[in-house]
Amino acid sequence: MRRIAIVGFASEVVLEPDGRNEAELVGPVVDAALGAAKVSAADIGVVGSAGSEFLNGVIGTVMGAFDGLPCWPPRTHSHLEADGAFALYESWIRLLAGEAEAALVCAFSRPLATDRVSVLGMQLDPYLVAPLAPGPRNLAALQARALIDSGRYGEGDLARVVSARRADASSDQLGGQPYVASPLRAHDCSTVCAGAAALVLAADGPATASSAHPAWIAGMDQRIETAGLGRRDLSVSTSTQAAASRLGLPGSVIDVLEVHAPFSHQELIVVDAIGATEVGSLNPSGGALPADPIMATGLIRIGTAAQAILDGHARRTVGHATNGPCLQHNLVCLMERDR
Amino acid sequence: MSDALRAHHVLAFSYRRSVGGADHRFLSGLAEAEIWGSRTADGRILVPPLDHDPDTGARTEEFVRLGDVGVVRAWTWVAEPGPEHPADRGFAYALVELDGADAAMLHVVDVDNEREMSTGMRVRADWRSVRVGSILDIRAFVPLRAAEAVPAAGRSTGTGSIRRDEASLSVVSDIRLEYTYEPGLVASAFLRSIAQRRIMGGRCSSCGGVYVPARPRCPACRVGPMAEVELDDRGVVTSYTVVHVPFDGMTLELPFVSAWVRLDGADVSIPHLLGEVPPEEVRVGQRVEAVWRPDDELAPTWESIRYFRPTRVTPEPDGGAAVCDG
Repeated sequence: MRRIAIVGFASEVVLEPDGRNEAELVGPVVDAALGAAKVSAADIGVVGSAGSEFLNGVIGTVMGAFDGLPCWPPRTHSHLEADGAFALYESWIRLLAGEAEAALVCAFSRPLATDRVSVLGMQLDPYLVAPLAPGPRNLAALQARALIDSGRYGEGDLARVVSARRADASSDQLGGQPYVASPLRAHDCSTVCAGAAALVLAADGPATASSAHPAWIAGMDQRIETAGLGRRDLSVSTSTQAAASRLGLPGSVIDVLEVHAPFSHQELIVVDAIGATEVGSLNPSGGALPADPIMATGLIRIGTAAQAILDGHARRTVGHATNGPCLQHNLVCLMERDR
Repeated sequence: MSDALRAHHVLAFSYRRSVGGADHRFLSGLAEAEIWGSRTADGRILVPPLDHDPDTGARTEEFVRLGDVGVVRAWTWVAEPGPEHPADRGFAYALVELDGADAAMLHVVDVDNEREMSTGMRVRADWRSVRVGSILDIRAFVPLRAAEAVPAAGRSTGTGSIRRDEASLSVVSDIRLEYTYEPGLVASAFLRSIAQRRIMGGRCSSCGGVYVPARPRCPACRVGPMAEVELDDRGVVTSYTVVHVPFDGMTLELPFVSAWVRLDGADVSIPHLLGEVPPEEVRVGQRVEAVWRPDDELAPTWESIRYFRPTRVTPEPDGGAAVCDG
């Protein structure tokens, strides 16, 4: 099987809307990723993009975003209404199948709704769940409760995750804050914001020419669980466990692990599910809590884990991405320097 | 802070979904104040019921009726309900596992305050008197008092067949999302120019293509920013259609002409309306000019141009005719 590597990555998060639209956000990020990879737009044979028009509420804006991507002359282009990590999976498969020598994967996010996370309610079962109108925070809180009731972790552990990820938080002050959805407090929930990410994939020869240390994709696996929240044990992530096992991660050593956890308790669940015996650096980027550009957040986790290899700092890194309520769908990507 | 435009925007739409399979059994049961689950091949009872076991993919064996008493497996508190919520005072969302079931269902628990909530508490369904086949036919689950009689834990089973008069059960979803939309920096500059009766395009420094509205970068070459170029408000019809069929949100009288107009100096066409011309006289290649709104009605929107009309032909002093825009 041919080897595929991540050879360039760039991202930007924008905490408050600054007037730029999708093309204005993603264009410079694509330029930076191509530049880092030393790959020209003309060499890109496959484009995988991700974003959602529910985020900004205007039909047709995805097409506008394509002005920032290499789309002309036409080439294989697949757009997903999902996190960019899932577009990465598809583009990786296309390169493995020999469709092209290089691919560009990008994601863009402008959550402009008055309640920025409200669009995620569109994912819920319209028959039995949506009429009850639970918000993403309410559903995540049920999971946090299940985790705490399992006895493995307490609210203090959630606070320790928050203080590690949010530069402005210290764990001894967090416990006094009011709940937004007990047992979750505002700082346990990610700060939803705008952003964009782009990542360049290349096959064997071009990858070696691009970088001294390509981040070779040793394996990528994704699993999804039943949509029924009450049919799952929410205190664990069965789908992450299955994906991580397929990649041989339980009991192994990981230099850098980037976890896509929009809620503090989810970091604890995912790290346990991956099951590494030793993690050199967990979420060095800060993870999803301080900046969560929905639809780009997972791709940024994988890109950040790849960057540690590209920079020569790490040999074996893992990026994780999730989608759906309470970690319903999970993707794990293992990258290695020597392969 | 940029000087980008922003505008309040509401996305609202409604879906009516017909209900089939296990969802139909469950919802039509709720209309009768009954709760039905389904039994998997290995004997587990799923509530709400599924047609297939999510673990194995095998069809579930039969529908099973359960009581309406159960236990809270997880919960969270909503202190200040909004208009979208199914309660008008503080309430809990909870995963409730009915007695005899092997899965929990999401619903709400109605208690006076959060201190009355606990994992493991016993609850029973409180039914609405008027039921329509909705998850909201259960008003809420309420705490089961110690002295309250609990129906025998036995389950009844049945085919769960659906009566003819229930066959058209459907669920309506009314979606409403509110936004503060920003069109983008380059688009904002374009829209501001429209409010001054000017149409600004962008010229690519690489291929020379002129796009209107201006884009952040050339869609073909990816080179940006594009150089500003002011375009005439006259051009040529490149395609058109005559609209005869009414649609939601229509503000014009039928029939009307929707056309693509390529402004002089531009390489792409814009969509707009044609006016002051009978639909049967419109043709591709026709020269047209913008009819602007009065100055006090100009705004940063394409609607500052009411429509395009065929370019006027005016008599010359010597009695001949000339096209105004030459």
